[in-house]
Amino acid sequence: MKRHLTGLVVALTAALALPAAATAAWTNCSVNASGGYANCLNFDNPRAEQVKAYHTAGLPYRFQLVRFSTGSIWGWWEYSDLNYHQFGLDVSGTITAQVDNRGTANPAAYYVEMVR
Amino acid sequence: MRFSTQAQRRTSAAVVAAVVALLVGGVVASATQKADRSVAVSLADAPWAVQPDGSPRLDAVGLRPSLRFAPGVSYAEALHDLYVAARTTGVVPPGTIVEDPLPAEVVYVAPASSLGGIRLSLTAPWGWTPDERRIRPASVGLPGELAPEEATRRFAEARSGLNPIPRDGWVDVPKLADCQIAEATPENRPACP
Repeated sequence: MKRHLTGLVVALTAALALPAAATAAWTNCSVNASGGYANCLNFDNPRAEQVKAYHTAGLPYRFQLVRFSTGSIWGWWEYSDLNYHQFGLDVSGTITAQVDNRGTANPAAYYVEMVR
Repeated sequence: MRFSTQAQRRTSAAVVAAVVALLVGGVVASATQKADRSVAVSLADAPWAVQPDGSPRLDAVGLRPSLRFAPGVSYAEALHDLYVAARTTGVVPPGTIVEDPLPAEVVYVAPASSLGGIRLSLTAPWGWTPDERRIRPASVGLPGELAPEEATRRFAEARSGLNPIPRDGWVDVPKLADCQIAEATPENRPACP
């Protein structure tokens, strides 16, 4: 019985163990047109933040970063193409990457990534 | 706007110049720069480069000097040179002349003729957002045809290597509101709303 309990404790500990901090995160973010900024991705302490639109119907779009804990905002940049764009901002805290779809596609998809 | 081959040549030339300057030591200064100002004009803490607490509002930062570029240099080329300088030497690009600050709202003054050079503000060279007047940070781009992993790899390479422009990449040029651009003189522009 004691061995079973010990094994159970070890298994639970392993399951609850936090993974090593990710060095990058990305998402395909679906944003409605004319809906203002959508929260696409959260990431801690990024050193670079990038975005790309997948379709022309999602153009133009605006990209900005927000740190809700302090009310800080970085940007915005407005892009009118399907290329990748990156800020190289080294910022602390939990940062949310936001996209404002100012095109016609409802919704439109955007690739958003942040790296450390 | 993108100009891969020409930008790559300008980047390579700029990087070589930067490396030479670093090898001989001291601050990089062109023969036409005012020596006392060139030493004081660091790009390391520029409000468009370092934004630890968000993009600062235009009216909340002190005015920075402006840079006069050589005749024929476009706004896009000036941004490219400025970005490379900021990421390599940390001082103004070679071949530029440091001049007095422009009014806060003016991003650049277009020359009156082809004989003059563009005059670029170092306060907000990538402009500022018309709604909240926040100073934009610099932005670089890569072709959208690349796979995401390749784009990420090239951006990372640029951030950590000698050449701050990613391969086949460019420095993004913002579309500025009309009132942020002056023609010939800083006063010659429409009023900002």
